[in-house]
Amino acid sequence: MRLGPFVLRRLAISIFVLFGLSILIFLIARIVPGDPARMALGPRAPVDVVERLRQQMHLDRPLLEQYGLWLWEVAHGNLGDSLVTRRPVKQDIREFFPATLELVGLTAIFIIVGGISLGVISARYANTWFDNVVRLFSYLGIVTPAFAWAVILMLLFGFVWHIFPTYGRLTEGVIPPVTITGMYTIDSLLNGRFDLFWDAFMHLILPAIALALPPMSQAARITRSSMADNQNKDCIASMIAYGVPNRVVTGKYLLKPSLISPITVMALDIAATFGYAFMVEKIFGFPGLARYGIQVMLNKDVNAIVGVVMVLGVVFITLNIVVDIIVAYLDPRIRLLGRNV
Amino acid sequence: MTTKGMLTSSSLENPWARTLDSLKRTWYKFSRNWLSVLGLVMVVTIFFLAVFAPYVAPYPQHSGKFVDFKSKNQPPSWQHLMGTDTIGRDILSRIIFAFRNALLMAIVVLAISVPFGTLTGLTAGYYSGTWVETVIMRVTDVFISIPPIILALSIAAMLKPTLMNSMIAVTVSWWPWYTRITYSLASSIKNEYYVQAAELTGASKIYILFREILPNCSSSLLTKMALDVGWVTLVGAALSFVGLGEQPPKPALGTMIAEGVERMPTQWWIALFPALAIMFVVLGFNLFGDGIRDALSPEEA
Amino acid sequence: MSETLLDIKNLHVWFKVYGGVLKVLNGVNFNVKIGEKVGLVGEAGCGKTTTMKALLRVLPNLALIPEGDIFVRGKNILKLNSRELADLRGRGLSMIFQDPTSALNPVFTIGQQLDDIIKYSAGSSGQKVANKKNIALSALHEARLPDPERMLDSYPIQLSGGMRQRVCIAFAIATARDLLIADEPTTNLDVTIQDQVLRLIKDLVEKKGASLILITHSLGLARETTERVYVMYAGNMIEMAATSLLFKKPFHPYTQGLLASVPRLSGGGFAEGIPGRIPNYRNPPPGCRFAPRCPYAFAPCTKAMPPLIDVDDGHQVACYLYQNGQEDRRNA
Repeated sequence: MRLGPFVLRRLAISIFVLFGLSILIFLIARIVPGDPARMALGPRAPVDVVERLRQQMHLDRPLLEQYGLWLWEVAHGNLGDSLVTRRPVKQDIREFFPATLELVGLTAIFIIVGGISLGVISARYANTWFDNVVRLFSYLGIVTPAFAWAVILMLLFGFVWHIFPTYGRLTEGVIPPVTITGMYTIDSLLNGRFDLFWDAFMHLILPAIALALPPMSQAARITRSSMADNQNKDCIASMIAYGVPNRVVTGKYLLKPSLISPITVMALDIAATFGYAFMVEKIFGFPGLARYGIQVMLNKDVNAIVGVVMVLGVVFITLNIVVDIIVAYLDPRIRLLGRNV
Repeated sequence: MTTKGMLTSSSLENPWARTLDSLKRTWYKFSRNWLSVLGLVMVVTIFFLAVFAPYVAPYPQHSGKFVDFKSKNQPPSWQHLMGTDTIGRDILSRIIFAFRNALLMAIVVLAISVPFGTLTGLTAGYYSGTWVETVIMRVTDVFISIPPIILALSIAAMLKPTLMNSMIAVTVSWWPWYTRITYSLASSIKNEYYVQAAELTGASKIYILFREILPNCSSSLLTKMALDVGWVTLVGAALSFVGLGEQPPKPALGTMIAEGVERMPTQWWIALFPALAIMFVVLGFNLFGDGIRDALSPEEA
Repeated sequence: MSETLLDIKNLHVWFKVYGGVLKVLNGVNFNVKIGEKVGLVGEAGCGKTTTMKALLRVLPNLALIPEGDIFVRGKNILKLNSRELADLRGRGLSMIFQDPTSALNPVFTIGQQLDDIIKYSAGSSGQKVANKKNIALSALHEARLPDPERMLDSYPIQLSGGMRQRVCIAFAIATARDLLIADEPTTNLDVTIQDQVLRLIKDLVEKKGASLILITHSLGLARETTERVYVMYAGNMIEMAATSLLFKKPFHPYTQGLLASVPRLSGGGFAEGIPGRIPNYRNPPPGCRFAPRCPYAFAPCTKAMPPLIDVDDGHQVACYLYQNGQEDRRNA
C-alpha cells in the first residue's frame, strides 16, 4: 500500500508549514502593532513600566534574535504570561481549550455524518422531492452563518421550546466532574457520572448544531454534486452494463471516488469552525477558548493572542495531515504518484 | 443560428454580432435557473440600498450619533418595520447603512486580493517546477494553514479597531486563496496545446500569461469573486461582532447582532433582523455566483 | 438465418440544451443476429456512441427518448424496471469503451472490479460464484496480460493504455456474454498494439459464439473484423450491407465519399474527402441530412428523409437516387 513514505513526506511538509506559521504569527505580533509593549499596557502606562516589559519581551534586541528567543520559549511550551488574567497563557489555554475541543468535536461528527449521508441519499434519489428538499435546505444552510443560526436556535429553544439548555456548559450550580481531560462529557463518563454526561452533552447540542449547519450543508451539496459528476463516467456505465446492481454501484464504485473532494472541504470547514466558535460561544455563554480569545483580542493581550493562534495552528496542521492520509488511503493516484502533496 | 446550423460568414466577420450572440447565450444560461435571477435581483437590491441609503432609509439620521430613549426597544411596527434598538434607533435604517460598509469592505478586499492573488498564482503556475513556484506556493501554504477568519481576527486584534484596519486584516488573509485557485488552474492550462503552440511561435511570456492562460482562468475567478462578496461580508460581520470592525455609533451588522444577543430572547428583533440581513447578502451573492458559474461553464454534451 | 439478438426500431434520442433540443438520433433502425459481427461506421459525432449508450440505458440525464423501441431477445428494454434491467445486463451485454482510462474505476484495484463483475454476472442477486479468483485469473491470462496475479492488485494508473484496454476485454471474457459492444476500442492505443487488441476481441467473440458490434470511424477496421456493416450519418442509418458487398459497391453518396477518403498505399494521390461537415443537430436540414453536402442532391432530398429500402440482395440504402418511382414524385 506504500502509505508509509507518503505519511513521512507529509509530516516533513507540515513541520515546514508550522515553522512558517510561527514566523507569520511572530511578525503579526511584533511588527503590526508598532510597539507591542506600549499597546499591551495602554497609552497611560508609565514609561519605566513599558520599558521593563520591552526588556522582558526582548523588544530591544534585533528582530532575528527576538524571533530566535521567542521560538526557543515557544518550543519549550512557554507562551508567556497573559496580561489580562495575569497567569501563564499555557495555563489559560489548558483550561479553556478542552471545552472548545469538545464542542468542535461534536460539531465535526454532525458535519461528517450528516453531510455525507444527506449528500448520498440526495444523489441516490436525484431529482425527487427528497433531493429537492435537501438541496433547498442545504442552500439555506450554507448561506446562513453559524452565528445567525445561533441567534435563531436560541430564539426557538430559549423562547418557544425549552428542550435544550441555551447557556453555559452545565446547568447552573452543578459541580463539574473531576478534571481528567478537561472535556466534561468525557470526564463525566470516566467518573461514571452519567447524569453529568447528559447535562454536559445537552449543553453542547445547540452550539454544535449552530456551528455544524453551514459546513454540513456544504458537505451534503459537494457530496451530491461529486456523485453526480462521477455518475456519468464510463467506469460507472460499464459497471451498470455488466449488471452490477445499483446499490453496489452507488454504495461502492460511485461513493469512494466521490468522497475525496467532500472530505477535503469538510476538513477546511471543520478547521474554520474554530473561528466561528468565537461568536457562537459568546452567544451561548459557553466558556471555551474562543471566548477567551475574544477577551484577549479586545485587550490587546499579545502573548495570549499568539498562544491561541499557535495552538489553533497546530490543531489545523494536524487535522490537515489526518485528512491527507485519509484521502491518500482512498485515492491510489495520490498515494502512488504523490500528486497533490 | 442559420438553417444549416453553421456560423455564417457574416457572424464570423462581425465581432459585434458575435459578442451579442455570446452575451445572449450567457444570459440564456444564466436565466435558465430562476434562482440565479432571484440572486441577481437580490444583489441589485443590496447595491441600490447601499448607494441610495440616505434617500431610502426611513430614518437616515439614526445611522450616526442619535439617541431617543423614549422609543427604545420597540418591537416591529408600522413606524419601525424592524423595531428599534436599546437606544431607540430604527433598526431597518441602520441595516441599510450597514450594507454600505459591508459592500465597501467586500469591494476593497477583492480589489486588492484578486489582482495580487491572480498575479502570484499565474506566475507560480507558469513557472511550476522552478524556485519561483516553490517560494510563492510555500508562503501561500503558510497563510492558508489557518482559516481566513482566524487569521483576520488575529491581525485585526493587533491593529486599532477601525473599518479600514479590518479591511486590511481580511485582505491579508484572503489573497492566498486566489493564489491557490489561479495556481492550480494555470499549472494545468500551461500544458494545453494552445499554450505550447504559442510558446513555439515565440510569443512573449507576458502575452502567454495574460492572453492565453488568464482568459481561461477567468470564469472560475469571476465565479469565486461573486461568491466571495458574500463571504467577505460574513467575515467582516464576524470581526465587528467581536468588536474589531467599525466602531459605534456607526452601524455594522456584526455589532448590531452582538448588541442584540445581550437582549435575547425578549427583545429578539434587535439581533434577528441584522442576522437575517447578513443571510440576505450571503444568499444573494451565492445565488448570483452560482448563476455566473452556470452561465460561463461550457455546455455539456 | 439465425435468430435476432438485438433489434432497434425507429429510435430517437434528444438532448436538452441551450436554445432547445438536439435531435441527435432520428429514427435509427439496427439489428444484430446471434453470433454475428456487425460494424457501425460513421464520422465522429454522428450518433454511434449515443445509439449504444441508449441500448445500455446509460445515457446522461439530459437525454430523452421520445420515440422508438429496443428489443433484446424480444424484450423491450426501454420498458423494463431497474431490477429486470440489471438481470438482463448481467447476462447479456458488455461494452468496451473508447477510452480505457475512464472505463476503469481509478480508486479500485483490477481485482476488486473484476470480482464484482463476476459475482453479479449470474444475476442481480449476486449468487455465489465458485472460484471467482480463478475465473478472474484465467480471464486476465486469456486477455494476454502478463503476471495476472499481480494484475489483480494493481490500480488502473499503474498500467499502460494497452494494458488497460486488455483489462476491459478481460472483464468481457470473465463473464459469458451474448453481445459485446466495442466502441472505437483501438483509437486511443498505439498502432503497434491496435492489431493485437482487435484480434483479441475477434477471438473472444468467435470462441464464445457471441455477437459483436464494432463501432468505428475506420472502414479498414470494419472490413477486417465484421460480416455486416451499417453506415451512419448525422443520426440516421443510411446504408447497410454485407461487408464484402458494401466495399465492392457502395450505393449512398456518403459511403462512396467515405471510401474515397481512405488513403491508399498504392495508386498515388491524396484521398478526396467529403467537403462540408456534419450538420448542427439543433436545426437539422428538413430532408436528407446529407443533402447539403451531397453532390447529387435534387429536389426531393430537401423535403423528407428517404426511408431505408432494399436495393440489392440484403443491401439497403436510404437515398432518393435509388428510390423506385422517383420520377412520379418529382412530377407531382
